[in-house]
Amino acid sequence: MSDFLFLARDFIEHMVNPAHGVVVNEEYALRFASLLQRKGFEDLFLQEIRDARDQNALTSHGWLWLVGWAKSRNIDLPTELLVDLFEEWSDVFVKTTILDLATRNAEYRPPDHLEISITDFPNDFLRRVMLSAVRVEREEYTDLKGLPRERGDEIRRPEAIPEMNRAESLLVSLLQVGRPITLGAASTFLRYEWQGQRHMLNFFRLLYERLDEESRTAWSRSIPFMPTNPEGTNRQ
Amino acid sequence: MAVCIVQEAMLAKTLKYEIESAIKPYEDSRLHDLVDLAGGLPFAIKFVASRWADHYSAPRPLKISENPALTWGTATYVTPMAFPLSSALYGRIGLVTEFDPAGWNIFDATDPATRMLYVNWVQVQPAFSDLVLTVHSTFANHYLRNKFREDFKIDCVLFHPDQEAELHTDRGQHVWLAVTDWTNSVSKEGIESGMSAIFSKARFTVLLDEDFAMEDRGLPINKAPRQIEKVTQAIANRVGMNVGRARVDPNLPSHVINVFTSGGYLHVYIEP
Repeated sequence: MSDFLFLARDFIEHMVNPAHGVVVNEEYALRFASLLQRKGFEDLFLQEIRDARDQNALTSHGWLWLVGWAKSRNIDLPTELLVDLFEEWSDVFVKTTILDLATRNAEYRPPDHLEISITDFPNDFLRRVMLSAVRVEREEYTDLKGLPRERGDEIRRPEAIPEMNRAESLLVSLLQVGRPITLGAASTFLRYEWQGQRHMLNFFRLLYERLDEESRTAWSRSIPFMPTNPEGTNRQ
Repeated sequence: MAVCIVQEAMLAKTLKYEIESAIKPYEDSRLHDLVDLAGGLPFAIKFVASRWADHYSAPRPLKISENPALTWGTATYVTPMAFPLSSALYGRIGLVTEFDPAGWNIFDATDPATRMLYVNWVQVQPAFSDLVLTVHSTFANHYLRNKFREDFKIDCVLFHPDQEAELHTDRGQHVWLAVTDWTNSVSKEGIESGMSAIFSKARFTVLLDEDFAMEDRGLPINKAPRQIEKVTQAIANRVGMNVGRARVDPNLPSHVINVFTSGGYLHVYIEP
């Protein structure tokens, strides 16, 4: 970690960690904003952040602030760093904030067919977080075909699939950001065949069915090729 | 009705229409009435800690608040001049600034029906379940309020104070403002978080002779009592002295002793 970020880390922590109280937070925020107005400071700060590959460069509160700040200034952060931060946190709203930043300028042309897989999804950040969400399951059960039928069925049961929280959080974040590219990714993710697919389709159904009729229509209108059948991929 | 271009995705048309209908242009909003109440020119005031008096002795921009604990997300929080002492809880230094609300889209959260539209919007968000289940609800609410304001291109939210300074703030009647600085002010996209361009010339204008506690047993205070005035009111023998005179008065020690023995108090004040 650079000396500059080492110093900034503590300063930013005072600015954004609610444990210091609103008065301290606001005091440091005003001082930091004054620093940013000095010639060359913002460029130096940005360069240090772009070069940062270490998640420990800032605290969790610091990174959270930085992601929001980068969005407000329309600043790109490295995809590698954003993927790492996305994986680091479990909270849906933090993940959503990162996903929002990562996709805000992404180009996307909706596919005219269903066959696109998460492995081919045309956005590096989204492809990587989707593959990561299904990674553990693929590694643990690499060959279901070799198992006795009853054992395979057992593994396919939702309660036998580990780490579904990660996939659920990803899906909610994709829907919450609500851009065409993230809704396209949500549809692709739900259609991906893996051990957790049935669980995810059921999870999506629960999200969908709690809505009023008109909101359901809006979801159907917005999500391309929206899967409606939790028992399998619905090819509309 | 204000003209809004809202991200259509995932939102029922009726709710979208109701929210857009509730968002008023400045001229038709309660803020316009409040500006009229204070003389017709749009001025705002914000109280800050004493240490900022020198910084704001010349006109400077206000800082956009991005603290997740604040009511309506990342915004500049000010009070219309109709309620000049309402935010005295936050410091003794009142910074006054002009602003230009022409073209603003106003969301009046002091109106219960309008406020409920925000609640309805939250309830149909994909992450609603996570909002009610997460331990990080402060950040979650901050995210949602920013998204709501950004999706509907809301320039200003009117809301009743959620913290009071005794006798200075009337939670039921007073109105505070959360004002958006846009990263792209033409298309009203992106919520800025640095210094406000809208409130760019705030100047130290009011000095208040009172202090309020901000916290109560580690939590944000609900209603802060006056720490000085109500104590002095209970003392019979009150003596005032200009601070410039006091510093050089050779009889100051005996003055203080006399006030002490009489059970009174000496107010050393800054002469305007």
